[in-house]
Amino acid sequence: MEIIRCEQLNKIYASGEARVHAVRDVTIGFKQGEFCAITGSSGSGKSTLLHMFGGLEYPTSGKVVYQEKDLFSYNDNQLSILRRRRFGFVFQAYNLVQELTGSENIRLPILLDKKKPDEEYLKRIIDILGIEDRLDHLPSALSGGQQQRIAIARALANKPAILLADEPTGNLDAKTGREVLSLLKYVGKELGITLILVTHDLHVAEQADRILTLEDGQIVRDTQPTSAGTEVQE
Amino acid sequence: MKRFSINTIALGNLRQHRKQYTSLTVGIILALFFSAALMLFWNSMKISTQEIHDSRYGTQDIIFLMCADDAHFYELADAGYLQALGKASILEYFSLETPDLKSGFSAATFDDAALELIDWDVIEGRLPEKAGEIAIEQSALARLRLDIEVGDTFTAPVYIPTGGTNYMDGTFLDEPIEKTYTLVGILSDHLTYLSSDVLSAVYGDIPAAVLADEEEITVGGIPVINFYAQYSSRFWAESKLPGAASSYNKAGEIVRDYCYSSLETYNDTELYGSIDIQNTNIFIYFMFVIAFALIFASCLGIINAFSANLRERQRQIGMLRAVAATRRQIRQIFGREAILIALISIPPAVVLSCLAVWGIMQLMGPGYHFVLNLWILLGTAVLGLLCIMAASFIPLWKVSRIPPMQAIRDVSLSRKLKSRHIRTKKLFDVPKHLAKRNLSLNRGNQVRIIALMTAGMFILSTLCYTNIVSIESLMPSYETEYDYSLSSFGKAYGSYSGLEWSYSVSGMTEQDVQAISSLQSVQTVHSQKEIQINVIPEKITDYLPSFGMEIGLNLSGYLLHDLPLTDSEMNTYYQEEYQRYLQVKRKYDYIEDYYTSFFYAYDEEQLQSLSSKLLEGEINLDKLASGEQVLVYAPAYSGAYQTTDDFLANTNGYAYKDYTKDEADLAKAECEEYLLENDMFHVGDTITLSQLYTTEELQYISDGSLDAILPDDVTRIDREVTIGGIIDGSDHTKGSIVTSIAGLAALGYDAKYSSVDIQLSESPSKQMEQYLDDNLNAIAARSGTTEVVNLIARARTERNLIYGRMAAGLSIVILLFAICTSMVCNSFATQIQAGKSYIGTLRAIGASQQDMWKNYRYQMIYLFLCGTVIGILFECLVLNGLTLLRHYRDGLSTWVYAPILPPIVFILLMFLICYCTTRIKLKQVLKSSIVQNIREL
Repeated sequence: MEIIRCEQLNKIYASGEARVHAVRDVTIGFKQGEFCAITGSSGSGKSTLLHMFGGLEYPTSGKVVYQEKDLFSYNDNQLSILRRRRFGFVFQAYNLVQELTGSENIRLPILLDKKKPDEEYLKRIIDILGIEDRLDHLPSALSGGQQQRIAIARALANKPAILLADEPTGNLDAKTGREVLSLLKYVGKELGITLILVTHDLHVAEQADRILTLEDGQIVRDTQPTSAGTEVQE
Repeated sequence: MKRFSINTIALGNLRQHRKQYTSLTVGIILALFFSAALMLFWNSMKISTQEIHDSRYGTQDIIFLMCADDAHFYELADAGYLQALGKASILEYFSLETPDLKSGFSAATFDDAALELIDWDVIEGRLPEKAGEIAIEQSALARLRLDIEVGDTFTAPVYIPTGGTNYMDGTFLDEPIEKTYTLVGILSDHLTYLSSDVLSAVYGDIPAAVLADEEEITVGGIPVINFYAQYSSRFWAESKLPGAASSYNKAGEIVRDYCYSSLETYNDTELYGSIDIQNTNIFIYFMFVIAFALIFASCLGIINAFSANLRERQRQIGMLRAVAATRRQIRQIFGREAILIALISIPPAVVLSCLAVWGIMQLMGPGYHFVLNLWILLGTAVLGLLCIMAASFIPLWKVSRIPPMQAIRDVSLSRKLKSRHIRTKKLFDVPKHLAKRNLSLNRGNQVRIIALMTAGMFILSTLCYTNIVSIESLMPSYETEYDYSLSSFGKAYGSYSGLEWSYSVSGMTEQDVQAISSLQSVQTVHSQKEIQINVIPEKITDYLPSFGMEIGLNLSGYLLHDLPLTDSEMNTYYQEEYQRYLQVKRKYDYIEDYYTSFFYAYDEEQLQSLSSKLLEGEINLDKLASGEQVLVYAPAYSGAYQTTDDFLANTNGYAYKDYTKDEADLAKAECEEYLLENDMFHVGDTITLSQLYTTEELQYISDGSLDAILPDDVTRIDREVTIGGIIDGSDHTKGSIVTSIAGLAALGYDAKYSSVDIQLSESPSKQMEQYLDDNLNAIAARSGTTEVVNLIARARTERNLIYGRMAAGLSIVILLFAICTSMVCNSFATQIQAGKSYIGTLRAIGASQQDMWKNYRYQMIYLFLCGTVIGILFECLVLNGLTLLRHYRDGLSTWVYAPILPPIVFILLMFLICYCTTRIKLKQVLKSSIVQNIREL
């Protein structure tokens, strides 16, 4: 069953006379618990597509449907609530709040929702990610990998249905990148979260169950696993 | 190819960031404008008031009257105490009534130095060049009552002085001489202004007519010499030294030994019209404090704005450093921006300040004009440039020292965070928690903002404290009872009370009053006569004496013994007065004790207006007119109270005061121990009024003595009257007598009118006012001792002064408000602008717009609360501390509290504006998508 899909999604950036059609008529859906990598060359529109799926960017036309409702029919407040309860985001640059410690960063989505954190669940996440001894440090005192793990923990804190990761290993070395990726995969599987990951690295993309390839804003290849093997749609 | 230089980079940066720099530039322009305008206004007022003073009094600082010896005055000049010395030789005295020289004037020859010092305006014609020619001051000419113009020849009787070498021997030739002159010039009035300070007639006079150098005194006459002089800077420097070293003492010796008297005329009180020296000095002090605080606030604002701006462009700076720009080059590029901003700001500020001061001076009235002082403008420009450079140097120096990679990566926050001890919280309100963290990491910015608010609140409080800005000033009441007032002065009272010297009787005649009444627009004329009188009541009690301010005329306490006085100068003076009293009593056959007071005669309408103050009895106009009855001023209470005011109190710390019935509670609060009710005057009591009148001249026993030789030829006029009414009031001498004009005449006491007050039928036009000024001055000039006060013009001048002050004060407030508000708003706007990525991240993880706004709102409320509390504490400490100092040092009996409401309103308004602008700024950022925020697009 599809948990989220988009229909005829378009995004055009206009700057003066220049127009960039970043995403063209994309229609795609994702199942619950699926691990999908969106890949493509630089400027192919993959990040834009991911951002629209997360409600971070408004499309020029088309819609993103989550739980049978167009995301962009919600007002800003409702979208905010949706983002903190149903979506988790992991960015390439970690995007932690520098003034808050690791632990405070992780709890942000929960506390924004005015809820009491499920400490047992958080402990489990933290244990999985292996960051229990870095929680009282500020981001400036953490390595890249540690920061990204904090960011992943934050994304998972509110038990999201969908985790959107934009080049999560982009700023990490190869070893750390592999560790983070396998953690993402593991956590996704463990918690039944739909993981949509954007990467330009094919090695990273190959870790996913499904690979979407974008070129000039359009999906040119969709590699889905089947019982018979891999099914490729072009 | 376009040349690429530091200036082009700086100009390019300015163009690119013109939005940010616009508010900064406006703030700098306003600060420079105010500073220059303040200085220009001060300078223009100083020069204008000095010019007005000089045009009325001359440019000399002192006139030595009736000098016996030239040599000592030239010695003073040679010794460096006087920077200018001019000599006038009085050759004759024009007199209208024999021998009432008070209504006349003297004519003299002047050396060039004296003419330069006196600096007459020649209204018409010229100064005399040969014998037989004369130029006369306008009012003095009016007193001759001759219908003559420039070029006409006239003959008038003149008295020739025989000055002698000892001024005390001075007299005139027995008979006046008829002299013929050609009037060659009419001069501006000086005598009418100067003569209000001349205490005595005869030789203590100031010439109001100029004769040619070659004019000679009539045979048998000896000129009377006056010297006109200006004090030198050495004189002023030594004037406060003690004893023999004091130049004032030296000058005093000269006056005592070599001339009859002196008249100091330097400008010490005319600076702001009705404002006295002490308040003027306070005004000056506070204006400079305000100017300094304003410049300080502007510098803080500049530091803040440059810091914010440079923080935003830190990456740009880092990249420039990374491509091998040196620190010096960085400072040059960005410092050049500061210089360019200064150069853009200074010219409009200077021009605006000149225009503003020119406009304000136009409002000040005749005589006040704008004075362009290039040094002030240059000084403002240079100071402004230096302040901007200095203020921008601090953030520039800091940012240029950051290593390139740190600048690019912007690790300033990380460095700050590393130095702070942060405790993790598990549960928190996100916006509040973020706000607290932001505040703790930006202490420097907080301090600047709070300092700005404190400076603003302090300046505003100071303006209100000194009453420059006040609600009352916005709605001044200029309703005066009368429109014009004529008052006579210069009547000589000998130290012996109760003696009227007829020669010194001054004032307006019946004809003068009728002439006034017949002028156009004159609706009502109230006239008053006043003489000195000895009063023999049924009894004299403790109630009568009043000391302190009433020295000399009602000092009858020597008649009583049980008073709270101890040995003091006052008591000693007292003893002397008592001896004089006994002498008069003996010589003129008084048996009962008497006190001396004033005897006022009013017209009927004025008498009727006293009804509201009647404590006892009635105002029976018929009985007053017949001389049967009189009224007595006898306030309900009289008492002594303790005060630390040295001026009012005797050495025991007591001062005396009279209280009306309305002031009864105040009286009881202030001096219950010594409070006395009137037990001396009652309706129905019979009192004897006694006047001693002589036609002899006043002569003193010895030089410097206050003791006159009691004349033999004295007429004593006694009248018995009944007290018809008791009038309450503390604005007249206690025990003074009141009757009607007719009543005074009925009692046989002759007097001229001492004052005439005029009400007009309507507000006069400019032409009508000029007509009234000219005609009233001409009438006043006839008596020679009457001053005309145009109360309408005075009210207008005061109104203009207050409006001018208010305009200056309000412009300071508005300017300050603009600076403070723009700086505070700029600080938050910069924080939002610099925190786009931070905003985007929070939005991405589910923070709503409301959560974002709460963060900044908490910070704003915290800053404004801190600023308000610190500002109020600071201003209370300083201003109330000042009041405390004045209380103990000057004996100020009333407490002036530092105003709190105006600064609170100031802060509230600032908060509202900052609230709205910050909200708008945040909304602008939130309009962009989350991704644009994160990527800081």
